[in-house]
Amino acid sequence: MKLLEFKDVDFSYESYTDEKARPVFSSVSFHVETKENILILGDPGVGKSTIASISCALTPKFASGTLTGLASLKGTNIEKLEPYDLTSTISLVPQNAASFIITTLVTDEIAYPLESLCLKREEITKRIQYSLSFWGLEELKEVNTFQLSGGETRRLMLSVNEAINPELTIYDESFDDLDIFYRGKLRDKIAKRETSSVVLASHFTKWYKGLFDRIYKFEKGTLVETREADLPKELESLSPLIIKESPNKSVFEAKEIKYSQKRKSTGSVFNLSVPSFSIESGEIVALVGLNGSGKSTFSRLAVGLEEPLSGQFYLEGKAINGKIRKRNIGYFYQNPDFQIFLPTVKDELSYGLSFLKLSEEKKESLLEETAKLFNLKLTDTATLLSYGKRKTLQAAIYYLLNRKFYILDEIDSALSYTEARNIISLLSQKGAGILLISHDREFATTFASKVYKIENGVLR
Amino acid sequence: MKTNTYIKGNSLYHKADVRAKLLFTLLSCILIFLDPTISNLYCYTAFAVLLCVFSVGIKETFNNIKLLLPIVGFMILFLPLQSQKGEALLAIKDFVLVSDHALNNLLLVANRFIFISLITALLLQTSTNNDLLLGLRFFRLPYNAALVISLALCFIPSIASVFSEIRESQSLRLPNPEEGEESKKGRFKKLFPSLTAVLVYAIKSIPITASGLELRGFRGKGARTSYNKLNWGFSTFTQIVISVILPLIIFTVWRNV
Repeated sequence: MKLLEFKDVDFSYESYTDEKARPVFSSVSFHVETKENILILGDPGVGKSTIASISCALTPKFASGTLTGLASLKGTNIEKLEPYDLTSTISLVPQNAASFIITTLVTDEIAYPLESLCLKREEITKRIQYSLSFWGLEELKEVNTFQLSGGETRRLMLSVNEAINPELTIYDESFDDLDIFYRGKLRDKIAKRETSSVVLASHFTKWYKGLFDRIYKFEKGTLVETREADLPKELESLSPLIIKESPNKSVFEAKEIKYSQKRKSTGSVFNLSVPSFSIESGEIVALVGLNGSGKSTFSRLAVGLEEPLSGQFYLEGKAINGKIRKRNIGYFYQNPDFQIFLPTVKDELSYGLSFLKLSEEKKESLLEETAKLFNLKLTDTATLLSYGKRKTLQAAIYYLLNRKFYILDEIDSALSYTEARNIISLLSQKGAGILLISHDREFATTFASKVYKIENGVLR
Repeated sequence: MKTNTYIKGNSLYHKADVRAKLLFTLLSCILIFLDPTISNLYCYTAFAVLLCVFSVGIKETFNNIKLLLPIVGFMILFLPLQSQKGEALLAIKDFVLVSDHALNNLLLVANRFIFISLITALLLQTSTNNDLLLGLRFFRLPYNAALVISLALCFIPSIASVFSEIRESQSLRLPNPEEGEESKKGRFKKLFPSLTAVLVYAIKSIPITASGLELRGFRGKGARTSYNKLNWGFSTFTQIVISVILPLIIFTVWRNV
């Protein structure tokens, strides 16, 4: 039985400028049958999340646009359905999980859809306990949803889905932000084929091998069916980086750092200790660790957004405070939405340049050159770009800042390997030292000369 | 949507029933408008500060007050506009900067503003969103209205947190030390894009939150079950009675002092 079917679907979002609306995709056709697994691959901005949103009847209802062709769920035109009627049929694990959270506590977030399904309290309790245990969130059940790390937020969304147990789940880049253990767990769950799954992804990883009944790939604005064997070995075919030797070699170090943070909503304390860490200009270093282990916390300390309880950071041998760290180390957040706020791509890129004593012509030429390098359009509305494109914009912003060091937190999530490699390459060519945080060990070790790991609250 | 108001704790106010806290908040906010005496308003504000300190601690109380300071600053800036009446306390030639009438008005408004903000913040910091929703439902508010109020109550403070995030993000985009410095004028000018960005965030959050709710089965009208339940017993009844009587006693006593 066909659960979800797209037949020659074209879609374009409503244009808010004088320009004619650009089609996101055209003639898209695919289908998912009961207990089937489907993979849809495509670069950022090609319309993967739009497919997810249309399938759940959220678009064009909440994001106006024009849809032609037929998108149907269990034989009914989706345009005639309401999202709230589909809770037990189709569920979405959203790419930008943080935006979709609607309650303040982890347990309440899981309970909400179950209350909508009018389940009895005993059944809700049973499902909450199971899903919390399955996704390793028991200890966080009383935590404020805002205080979860990126990976924990993703697991919360997977727990919500687990508790609903719908007939079909759309996993929008859901392997991203998960550590190796939970990536394996998600893979095993999909492989069991107890329900149907559609996975949307920017690149084919080892976790996807042999998992899907059909694979579709975006090519020139439409979907094309392909076979696993025909997919290019993207990671293996990445060209080596050209790293520029900097004449003035800088070293950034952390020594005997100790940090402690109390979770407001539970009162529990998180500790991080960094006996020794160093990175040189032109060097690429990886940092790995489980979800919630403290990778982002270390990044916030390194760039001066937090101050350690004890210990010191050094640049070129001199102890430096948070104010200096902020202006020497660029921090590429895991979630681009925490860093993109201005109306257009041009406004975002111009922000850093506005402090520099450059002529208007020079600024304009720098903006155009950067937009071209990162394949961005200066007039585009920044917040309306796709998630992956917003990550690219984030990279372009930091490229223009010319920092000595960069921390790239989960750069490979929502981007193809090639795009992530290009960003690293562009920053390396300027001689910057790069700390690469990634759960994709294969990707990280392709570039990194050394690997740090956080285990039991200690970075080594 | 980001909601970050609840702070776990074991204070008496944390343990109090959410229905009693809702009544207490509402009544005390009404009563301070019925009392125009400055000295009494100081007492109300001091009471709110103390309640905050004992419930969420000195640091969080300080953070709550810090968020109010820019608005109090604006009130002070507009003081000369109200200084046309009353005796001049500070003047430049014929232009009265501060009059006793304007100063009195400022103290009235500022005290009420600080009291209402602190007592509301305390309600949000000691109750979860779901408890608030259940509490509002107890007072026979329709589910939709209760949901909107509880979301709004948590959403408004989260705007302040987004503002801090934007400023944090902007601080990471300052030039390299050798390339230039940000002037004070520039720092002030950057406030406007930050405020616009907060507005954009707030507007953008509306359809995303609506999508999230409908995706999780929220349908406006229609049956729902409830996982969380508020208990009803002698203790709750007593707390509710106290929450009504306490503000009335304070009000009566202070009016007659």
